[in-house]
Amino acid sequence: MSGELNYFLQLVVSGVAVGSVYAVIGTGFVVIYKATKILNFAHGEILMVAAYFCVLLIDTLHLHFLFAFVLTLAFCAVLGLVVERFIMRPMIGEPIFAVVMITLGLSIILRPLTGMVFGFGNVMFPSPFLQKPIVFSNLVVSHAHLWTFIISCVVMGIFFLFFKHSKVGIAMRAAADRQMVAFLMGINVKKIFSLSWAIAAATAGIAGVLLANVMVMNLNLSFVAVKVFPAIILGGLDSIVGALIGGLMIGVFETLVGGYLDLYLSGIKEISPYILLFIILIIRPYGLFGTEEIERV
Amino acid sequence: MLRSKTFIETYREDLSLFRTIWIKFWMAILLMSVLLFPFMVGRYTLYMINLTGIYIIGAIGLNILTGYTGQISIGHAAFIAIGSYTTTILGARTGLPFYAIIPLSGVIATLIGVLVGLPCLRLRGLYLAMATMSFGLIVQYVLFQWEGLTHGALGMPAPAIRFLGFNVDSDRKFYFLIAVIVFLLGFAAKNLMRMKIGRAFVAIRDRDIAADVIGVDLTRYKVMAFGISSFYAGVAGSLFAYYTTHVNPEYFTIFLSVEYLAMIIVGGLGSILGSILGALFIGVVPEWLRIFFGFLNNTFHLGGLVFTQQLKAITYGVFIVLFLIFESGGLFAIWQRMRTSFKSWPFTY
Amino acid sequence: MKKVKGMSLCLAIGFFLLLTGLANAQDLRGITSDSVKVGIITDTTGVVADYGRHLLMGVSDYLKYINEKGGIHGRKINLIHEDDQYKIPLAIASFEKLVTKDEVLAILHCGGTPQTMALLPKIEKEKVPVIPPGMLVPMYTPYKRYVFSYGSTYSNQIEVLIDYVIHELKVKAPKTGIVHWPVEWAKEGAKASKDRLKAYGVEPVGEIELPMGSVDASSQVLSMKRAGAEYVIIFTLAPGIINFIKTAEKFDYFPTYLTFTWCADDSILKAVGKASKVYYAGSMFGVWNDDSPGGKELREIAQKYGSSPKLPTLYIQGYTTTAILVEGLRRAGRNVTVEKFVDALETFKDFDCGGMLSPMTYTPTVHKPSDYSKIVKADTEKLVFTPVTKWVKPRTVK
Repeated sequence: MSGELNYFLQLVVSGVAVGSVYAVIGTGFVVIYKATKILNFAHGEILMVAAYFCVLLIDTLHLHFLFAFVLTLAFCAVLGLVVERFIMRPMIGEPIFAVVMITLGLSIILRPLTGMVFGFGNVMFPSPFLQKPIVFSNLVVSHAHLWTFIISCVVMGIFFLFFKHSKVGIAMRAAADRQMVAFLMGINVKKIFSLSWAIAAATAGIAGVLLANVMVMNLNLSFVAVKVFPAIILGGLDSIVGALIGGLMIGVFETLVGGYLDLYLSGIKEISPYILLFIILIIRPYGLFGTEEIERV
Repeated sequence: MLRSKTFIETYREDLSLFRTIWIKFWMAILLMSVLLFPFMVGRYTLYMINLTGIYIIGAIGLNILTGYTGQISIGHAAFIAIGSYTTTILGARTGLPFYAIIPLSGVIATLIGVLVGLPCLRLRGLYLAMATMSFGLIVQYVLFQWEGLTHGALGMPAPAIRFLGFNVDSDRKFYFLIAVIVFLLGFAAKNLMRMKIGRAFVAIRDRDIAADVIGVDLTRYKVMAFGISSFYAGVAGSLFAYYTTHVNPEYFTIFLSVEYLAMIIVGGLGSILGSILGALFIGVVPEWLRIFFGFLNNTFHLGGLVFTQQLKAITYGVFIVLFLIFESGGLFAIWQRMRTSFKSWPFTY
Repeated sequence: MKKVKGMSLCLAIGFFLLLTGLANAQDLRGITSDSVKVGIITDTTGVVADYGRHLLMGVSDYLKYINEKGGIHGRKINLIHEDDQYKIPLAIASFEKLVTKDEVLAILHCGGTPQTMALLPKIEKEKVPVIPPGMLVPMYTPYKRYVFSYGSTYSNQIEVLIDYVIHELKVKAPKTGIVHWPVEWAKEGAKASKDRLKAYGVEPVGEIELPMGSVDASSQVLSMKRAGAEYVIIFTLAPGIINFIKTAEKFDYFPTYLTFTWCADDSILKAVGKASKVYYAGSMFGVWNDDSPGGKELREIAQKYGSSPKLPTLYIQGYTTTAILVEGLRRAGRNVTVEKFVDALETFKDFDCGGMLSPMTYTPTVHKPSDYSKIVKADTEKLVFTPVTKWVKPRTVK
């Protein structure tokens, strides 16, 4: 394989790898949005807490990774339930702006709180994955990344089927669309909301642990969620499949820009997803695949 | 204090901002205390109050855009940055005096605000928030990278202010400069919002399609909202540059934008007094907390690291959450209630 | 009515709490008959919290040690710490508080580089001696009486290292790439590297940014590899360089790493293990296991107070900064004042904190950083750094 082609393909592979991380995080955002029409600005903080919690279990209690992972998911689900019950429940019926601001408020609280409880320094996640990368016809990908990709596809598949076919999933979509009508149709909206937050938080847990495996862990982990916004807008805020596609596209886009343009326009890699986002929003105000909102006056 | 004999006899009286003698009396007291304030407190307090004054200007701007017109913006910090850097760049390259640079910073920020507002016309709610957030990040990136203009990560020093032959360089002198500008811009905003423009803004916030139907020119007023809001941000940025004497792109992050959003939510959306109260709250409470925790630390010899910065952040996160849940009108609504009960005392029913 | 009364009372109390006390005579600021107050501004909860905390640990441990031995000339040294979260307005507020409310004699460290730059005018105005790492030229040129830059600059460190590669390792034209974090001191370092290489007639093969908090360094690593860089000069902090080295390991890319003081930290080696292969750093500090009197005292103190810092370099920074303060107080004598303290510092000649800091010389007209740095190499077996030179100066290149 020629050097140039190899370089290009390697960038694409790395882009897909990092994109799957974005996709897993993005799925959490989309789940909440699909079920409650809220964009949860505290998602990044929840995944960060999950990562720290998992490290705590492994390092201090010396639990095996899988066991710690499952416990972390359970912890996240409980955290999601608590958040929903005490912070989101009182906001049912309030305008969306207020609800989104409350998630912002929650993120402001969670970050320093995590620092106070877990410390402010850098932490290396005790990774269960093999360190030696897989090499396939000159293309390299690490185990952690490969697993992230597989897991994100699996998660996407599960949620897609869930929302499309299962009773609970359809009930969630109904509650998001028309809360009042859902109440009238006999859907227990309170329980649905609790469930959606628990599930979304658990998804954040998966994302957090996977993310911690591929980068150095510290309080700045929560900012990766900000990088995912372009991905979910691209894919459409209410599309599960869109989260995966959007995440992968942003990952590949960013890595290609980095590999080809960084040498000339320093730092363009970091900002490229946002430039792309801004341009897309100007052309298509509801993102690439989002459903346009029809408002009655 | 039940109000009596408040008969409005002319249209002029009806329109005036301060209707009764009582209000005028309290405003006079306020004016006096504001004038005397810097001589009563120490330098450190004055420093915090000056910063708060700058926050007030920025918060009023954001409230005009988000509180009155309903356009959510997480990019406010970008306009403040533009104001700051216009000041440092003009200060370094031209010999313009401060009373030209400050309004110019506002104007340049306005121009860019309009440039951003135009493509964002079709965006609503969350998508608008995302677009403004991206804009904020892009501006920060440009500030870091365009080294020829902004010295990049090194930051730029701000020029000194010379007025009528003396240097405005002490906290006290800055206090008066900032106070004057706060008063001017605050009154301007209050009056603006009572005019046709203000009503158009509120109409857009409440139901923009309906507003369009009854003849409110959405394009014109939305762009105007962005423009005015950016002007205030630009002036706040300019004062900030002069006061901290050195600006650096690292300061103008999304967190700063979120901090301003917090101010207007806690203070009260859609109210000028709310912006002031919110800015005061976010600006001053951290210091009370610092003192409070320092006091606890010393009395109980807690030793070690007291997480004052963290507790401060957590407290205002908690306040945002509490205000949103229980009092969506913010401090302004609380103030209104206090005033009404005060006004109708002793007949509190 | 009750509510209003209650609120006004609270406001009044609040106001009084915020009023400052009367100022003491300026020159004896921070000095009493049995104590000296000093301040320190570091980031302990913000973006570089790990660094700030370890710096603080080094400083407070050493001060505890000195105080237990009776202090200096019968005075104990009290430390007041303020957290600036690496933000300029908070650093300025911390400075104001330390000077006007706490009235400290001196401030050991006044925040990071951007914060120190912003504080320069106030430092001179308030006449507060500060001892910042001397990272940018405006900190010491023109002469500033109260700013005592210490250590060597990053430019100096990389120049010494490039000299070593070309002369000692005998690599005539090293194919070098430069990777840096897009912040001002890192860019300074990158520029100095380029200039030095050009002075030897060598063009760097590429220069790339690596932001902190990057999820993925693949494109940066691949670019460097593609450009053929056999030597990579890196100017970033621990998370950045760990990310880069581990990613490079994945792609089977093992250039020789050339870095500077903050990347000469044992913790980095522990994180990357053998992937570091060949790794040099130009440093202003001695290594943790240094066989010098300063090194021995340092380890003794750390053991005494049970501190095992994860970032030894920062602990060393704390130790050396405090050593300068302590030596200054010692030389100033019993009748110390702010001005006498400054004069005492200006008598320093080749003071190297027992071998742990680049030799510092201050005169009444020059307070610039040292011209000397030390080169250390990573020992990939023991995962610590060991010195390969003594204090060296950059050569003059024709």
